[in-house]
Amino acid sequence: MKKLQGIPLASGLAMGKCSLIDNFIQNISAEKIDADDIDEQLEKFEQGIKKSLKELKSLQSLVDNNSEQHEIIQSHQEILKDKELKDNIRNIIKDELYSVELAIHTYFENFLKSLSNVDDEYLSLRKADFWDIRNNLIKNIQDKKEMNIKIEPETIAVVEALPPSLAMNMFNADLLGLVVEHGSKNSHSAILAKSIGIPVIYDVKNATREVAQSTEAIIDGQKGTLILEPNEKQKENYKEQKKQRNKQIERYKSLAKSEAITKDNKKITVMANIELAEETNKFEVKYSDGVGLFRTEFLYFLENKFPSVEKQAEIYKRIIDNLDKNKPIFIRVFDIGGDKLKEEFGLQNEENPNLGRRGIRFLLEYRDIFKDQLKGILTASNYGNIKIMLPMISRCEEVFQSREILEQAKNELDQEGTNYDKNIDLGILIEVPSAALVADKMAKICDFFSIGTNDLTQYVLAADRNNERFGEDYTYFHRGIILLIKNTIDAAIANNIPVSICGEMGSDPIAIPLLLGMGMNMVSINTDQLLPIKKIIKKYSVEEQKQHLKKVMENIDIDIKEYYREQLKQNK
Amino acid sequence: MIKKEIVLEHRSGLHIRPASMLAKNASKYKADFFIIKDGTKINGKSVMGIMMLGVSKGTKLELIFDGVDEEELMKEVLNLFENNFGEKE
Repeated sequence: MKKLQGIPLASGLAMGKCSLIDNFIQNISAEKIDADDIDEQLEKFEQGIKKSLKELKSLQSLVDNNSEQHEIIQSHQEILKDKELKDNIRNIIKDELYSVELAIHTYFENFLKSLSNVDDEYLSLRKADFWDIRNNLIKNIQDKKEMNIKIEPETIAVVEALPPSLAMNMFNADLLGLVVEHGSKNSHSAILAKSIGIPVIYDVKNATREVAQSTEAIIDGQKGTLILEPNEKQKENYKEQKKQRNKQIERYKSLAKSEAITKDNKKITVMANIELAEETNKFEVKYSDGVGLFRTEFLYFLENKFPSVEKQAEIYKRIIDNLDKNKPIFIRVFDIGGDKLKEEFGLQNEENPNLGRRGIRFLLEYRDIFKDQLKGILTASNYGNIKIMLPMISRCEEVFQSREILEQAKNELDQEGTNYDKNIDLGILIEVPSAALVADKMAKICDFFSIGTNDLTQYVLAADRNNERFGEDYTYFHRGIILLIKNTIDAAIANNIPVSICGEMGSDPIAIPLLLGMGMNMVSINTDQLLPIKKIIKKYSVEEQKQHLKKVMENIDIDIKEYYREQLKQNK
Repeated sequence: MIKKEIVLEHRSGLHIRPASMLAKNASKYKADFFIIKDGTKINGKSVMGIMMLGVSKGTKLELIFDGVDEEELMKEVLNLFENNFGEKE
């Protein structure tokens, strides 16, 4: 018996045989190169660094400005630009006649060895970052076709490191669990691994060395432990715990399957916000009422360009396959610009990117990207209930122009003989104040609304939501925001089109009664909040909340957030 | 050339974030910047160099600034150390 400790990433409990997965590091050839090839290897190295830096920049633009992840990605870039690192690796190639992959591997091996002499725990934890940097760099240099991965089903897979390409292979592999020896929990791969739906533990020291092929083990994703060759007592323990957890999961599942019905018998549609198609594997998402917001910007990151029409259609179809056919899936077309992917498209010179060419303004300029995405969505629409959602709409003209491009996309598909949903819905995000103010007009030209409370709040209050100084002072509990949301919901109801809330407000337990009082009957929320919010909705009555709303809007002395916080406390 | 001795107070040591911050800011200057710990001397403008030293809380360091703008470089570096690299304790 031996117990290894790692960092918990995705919960779950499983027992079974371990299988070591040959990863790409072992594919590196130890053969020396010819002196004539040095220049070629040096050039490969330059290109690899460039590619890695570009990748990090794109990734960085997709995460929150003030997050730890943002800073760590920045550090990774500094390291790749480090002159000593570059000189050292170049010298290894020249002096030792190593291939660029082997030189990088050797350099980091030596570096990590010298780090392990450092006893400070925090420093050694950070080793995971260097593994990520090294692996991504090697991945960006190697040819993809060299990868030959075999994954044995019904086993606990153990890998030395998890590059995103390997993580993608884990999804339909029927694994019991996943153990990663080195890796940072903030990496893109970790985000992917989290949504496989199996227990995953990260940063398990010596895992590959300890796990000989086919060792039996128990993985506990909640505690982050891997017990090798468990004794009888531990096996008994496991069975008992597994029973308990299964019961707990059954309880969660029945909550997930239950409908969110208020005390006064009103059904609220509860949907999920997702970023990766794979997130629909989670039962919380699978059993929800649909996907209320699929953010598609991450698609860019899969290949460092926007995927082809066919590839996109395949990804959208994967979501349909994972959900019930009739459940709605709202796909938000690329919301580029602002702080997202601005350099890739030459948008970095705008003085105020959040008031610049973002969302629909970008798409109406880059029409080919827009039309290709619409074609991808249309192609998938043949198989399920997909809807098109336009970000950052501020004027009716933008909707008209988008409809024109949608018609062009349909015509092209007609010519190719591709089938699609002829009556596909096209709606908009209400996140710019001007659109909320003319919601009654917008409702006549759109098939649905979705209210994006994050941007709406930032634009109405003229307060950058990434500015830490503001803290809790500038929130959606402001009367001005409430008026605009109410106006939007009323306009949608009067014109008989669906309206949902996406954005943080819908995932905030305190805001739920407020939204119910405004007449919200559809909400799309972050996956980890799906169950808690469902539970909360059941505790309130819409009619009562209408009275509460009236009261708080009439009395300027009432601190709205405090008022609803108090309500939540009483309803606990 | 200026030499300065300091003791690192930062709770979690010169880990990846402060190390890259230090290297990045020092690189803006023309003057050379070296850090010496227990006889090992590294280039303070290199993240990998700083990380290699393995500086944890309470470590004594010798800093060397050498070049035309050494005064300014020293001020910037000491400022970073004094402000704990912008992290809350």
